[in-house]
Amino acid sequence: MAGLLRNVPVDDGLRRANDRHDWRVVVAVLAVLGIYLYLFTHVADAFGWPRPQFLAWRLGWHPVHVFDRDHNVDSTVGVTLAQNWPSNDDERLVLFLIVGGAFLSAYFLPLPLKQPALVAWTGLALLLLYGIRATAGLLWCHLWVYLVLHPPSRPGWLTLAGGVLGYVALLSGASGGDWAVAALLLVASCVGHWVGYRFVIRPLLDRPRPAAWLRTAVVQSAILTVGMGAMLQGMGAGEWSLPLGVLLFFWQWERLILYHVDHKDGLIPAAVPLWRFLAVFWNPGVLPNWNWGVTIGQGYSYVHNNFLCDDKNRLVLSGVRIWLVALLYLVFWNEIRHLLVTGFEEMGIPVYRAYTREMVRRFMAGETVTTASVLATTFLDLTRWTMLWAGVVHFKVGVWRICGYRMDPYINKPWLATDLATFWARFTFHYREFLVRAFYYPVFFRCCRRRPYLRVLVATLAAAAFGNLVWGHVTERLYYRGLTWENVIHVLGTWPYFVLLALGIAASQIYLLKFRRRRRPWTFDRHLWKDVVAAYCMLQYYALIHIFARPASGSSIGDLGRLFLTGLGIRLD
Amino acid sequence: MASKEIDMDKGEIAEQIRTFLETEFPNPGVRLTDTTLLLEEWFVDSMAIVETVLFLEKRFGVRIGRRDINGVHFRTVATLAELVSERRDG
Repeated sequence: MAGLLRNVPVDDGLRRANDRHDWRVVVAVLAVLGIYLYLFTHVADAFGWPRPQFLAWRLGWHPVHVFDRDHNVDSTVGVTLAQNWPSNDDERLVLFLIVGGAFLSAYFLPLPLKQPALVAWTGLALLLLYGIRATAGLLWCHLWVYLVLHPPSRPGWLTLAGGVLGYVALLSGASGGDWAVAALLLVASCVGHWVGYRFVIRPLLDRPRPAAWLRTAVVQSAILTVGMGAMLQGMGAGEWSLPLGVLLFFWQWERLILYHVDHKDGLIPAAVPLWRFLAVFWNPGVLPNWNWGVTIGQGYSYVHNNFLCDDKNRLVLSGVRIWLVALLYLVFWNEIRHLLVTGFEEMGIPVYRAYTREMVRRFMAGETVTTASVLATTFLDLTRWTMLWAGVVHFKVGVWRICGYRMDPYINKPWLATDLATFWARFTFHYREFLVRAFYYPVFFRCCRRRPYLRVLVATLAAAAFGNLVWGHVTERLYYRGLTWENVIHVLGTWPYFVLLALGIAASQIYLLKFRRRRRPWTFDRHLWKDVVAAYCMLQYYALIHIFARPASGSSIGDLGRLFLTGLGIRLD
Repeated sequence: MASKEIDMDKGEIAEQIRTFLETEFPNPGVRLTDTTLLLEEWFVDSMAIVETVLFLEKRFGVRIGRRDINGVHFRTVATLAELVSERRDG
């Protein structure tokens, strides 16, 4: 695993040296992409080939939980909230074709055109999948961030472009088909943007303190907006509805915060062209399951320093490899889940289809749940969504890699971790890096300097509990389920999970600081059994605390606590 | 003579840093020298940086700030030793 600080600036000379063509690599990428097209879309029909399920039957393989009703693989790779296509298979077809085009551009175009081409392919995908209003809305949001973080010396054209984008995204539906009204709104939008930037924003950006406040407000616009919307709804106002383009922008809020951290740390050049700013956010790697693994790619320094920093063909082949791993998860995850569930049920241990929430629901309905059942259900639930999640995030990481980026895996063999701190780094690497840089470092370098263990504890609570709960999960719930106060209360009610997670991670770190390791975990010696026990206990703890993150209707923290203790073998009946 | 003592101090600091890194973040197949690129070839992730900061502050009594976490200071064992040496002298 490379890590955030492994990325160091790379000059274009080295990038050119890394930019050698190899047709075998190109064929490998297109071949694997062809497998994805065959399995997850209807492309077989166009060539008169048998659909994947019929091919499996011909080969004598009859899985029950792999194929869907249209006889291809029921994939979790998809395009979130796309509205322009009749089925998700069609959306995937567009997605894979765009990825293929982006790969060929990034591979064969001259170095100065590679990243702009990736931005252009992403823009085309957005237009095709989400339509012009959503695309304009997303670009409008990013343009405003750019104008605030990188104020250009001559902003005239950009502010006018902002006016046009703002009109298309937000006002074009208000004209009622009247061209005169539309023209008036367009002119008003352009003039409003130009005047607003020239006479309000720009003067503020010339003064250090207001400029810092303004930059923070823009970067935190997602949480400010959804927080205000939820509060107003709680006070009796109607529920806000976010335009799609704005929602897509908000879904990248964690990466925007990391961009701001890079900006504050002086890791971004003063003058950055718009395309270079957009290249951080407009990459085909963000398109699949837009709202999953949103931190993949992190901020400016990570993205740009990892572009063609190594031999291009090696980077691309690492993408092909992770796509093949993703394929295993995407095809087999549900079949494996059913096998595991059936196996436990046959042993007389109910595991509730491997859903913790279902177990909580039954428990609340008065069903007796045993310790074995709690342990097995939570463990299988963790296994289930690890497989589900890994298929998608591996695919996303693969897209970045085939486009020339050295991208760390989001999930990297988490079962090899023997402590919770290492597990979290392996399980959710890019998100963990976000929490460390945005919350852990600021606290760690300010608080409790004379007491290192307390320092670690406080910083971990700030990151894994507070940052994770508020900036990670509250906002996410509001995007998914609507800007209502009930959603805020719902997520805040899961606080024991975040506290237990933070305490577990802090305990791991303090233990490792206090008692230095004398041997490397998973060394093949007589202590190997200790690694097995440590890995199981850590995974089971992580799985078990999710009881508090999966409340059912009517369950209180006390009820969830009783179920949690049951998992530990303590019954309070 | 004075500069030689400072150089020796830096050498001792570098040796202790190297021992710490080799013990805490073992990296089979890579030989850690004073000029090994830590961010390219050694560190695991940002928590490894935190552990190194705690070690440097505790072992050498220096104060490391957030802005010190960069590719210049954390480039090699030698640059880390340089940072520690500067802070001790300062």
